[in-house]
Amino acid sequence: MRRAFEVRRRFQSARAERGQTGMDRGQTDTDRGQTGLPALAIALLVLTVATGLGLAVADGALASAERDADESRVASSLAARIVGVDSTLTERENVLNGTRLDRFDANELEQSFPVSAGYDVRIRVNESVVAETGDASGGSSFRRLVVVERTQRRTLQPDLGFDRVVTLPRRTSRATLNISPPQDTTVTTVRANDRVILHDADGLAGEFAVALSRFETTAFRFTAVGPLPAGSVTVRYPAPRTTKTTLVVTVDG
Amino acid sequence: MDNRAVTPVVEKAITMGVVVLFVGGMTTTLFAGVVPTYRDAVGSEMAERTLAMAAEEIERAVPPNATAVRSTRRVDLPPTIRGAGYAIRVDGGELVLDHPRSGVGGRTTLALPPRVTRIDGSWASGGETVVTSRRDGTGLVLELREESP
Repeated sequence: MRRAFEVRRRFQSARAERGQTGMDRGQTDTDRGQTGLPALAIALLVLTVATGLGLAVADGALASAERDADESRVASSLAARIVGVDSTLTERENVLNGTRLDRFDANELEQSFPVSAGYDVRIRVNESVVAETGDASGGSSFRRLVVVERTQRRTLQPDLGFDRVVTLPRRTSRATLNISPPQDTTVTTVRANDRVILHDADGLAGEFAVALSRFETTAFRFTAVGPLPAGSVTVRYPAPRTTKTTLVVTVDG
Repeated sequence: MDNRAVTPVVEKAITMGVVVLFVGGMTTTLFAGVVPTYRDAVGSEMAERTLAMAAEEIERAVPPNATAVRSTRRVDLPPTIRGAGYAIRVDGGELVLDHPRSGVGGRTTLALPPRVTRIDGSWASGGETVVTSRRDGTGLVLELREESP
């Protein structure tokens, strides 16, 4: 009994030398090396979660960057072809012919514009569908500003005054003149804006198709020997009416 | 039992070992599974956009209608897609992008006016790629060529 007591006392004094008494028992826990490992585990767990979040964000960014580049390109190319100079629908660049546009349908779309093969295409002019092949909702659209031209044929039978000048009320690129003078009258020259367009010293009579300038108002001047009553000259000309609208081409591939 | 513990040196050694294992494991997982998938997705998207851009440039290279006309238009293509060079060529009325990887590539139709009678030639990425046009007996001919700078 005594020896155990002595051993204990020696043990206690040894621990007292090291600065540890029974009261300092709790401090021995900090000497254990593996108490730092749970902190490491938590740190690695947080790192894994952060990596997972990063991957989710990258996935979302990649998905939102989808562009459907092919559909957009086909839509813009098809729109350029439709309003171009070589198109079957246009009078000039960006000017669509109204009657040909009314006749346009899906068959003509596939025949005249082979780039639309293999895609669902919808063409709208001024919000109404002109031609459609398949269901194109959900595809890429391309808009262009165009002009739709409708032509009306007008006839003018002027009462030629003393100057024998008649001015056309509309600018037009061509006209048809019907000259039928009375028996004793000879119409020698017809001028359009001081430019001689018809001349015959023996007298002009009959139907003549003349080309005029679209950019200026045309005034016809007739030079004749003898009286020119009303009805001797009839002018037939096309009067174009233009409307500015939007062409929308939607392509779904 | 209270006195059994690991010394700090061993603790640091265990920490280093765990961290190295973690980083190695994470890197292996990412590079084996996730990173190639993303690179493939980006590569195919790049190929589609490059093909669309090339088709648009070729269509824009058609000159206005005139009797004697020659034109040369330079087209800038990305030098590589998905780390490899590629080729763009014409097949029938379509433009084709050829790439060594199977998922990357594509073909698309060209919208050319009827006065263009023929288009041929091919491009290899990384060079000075141009598209030239000239008139011959049949009509307008477009050619994909590489010019030496």
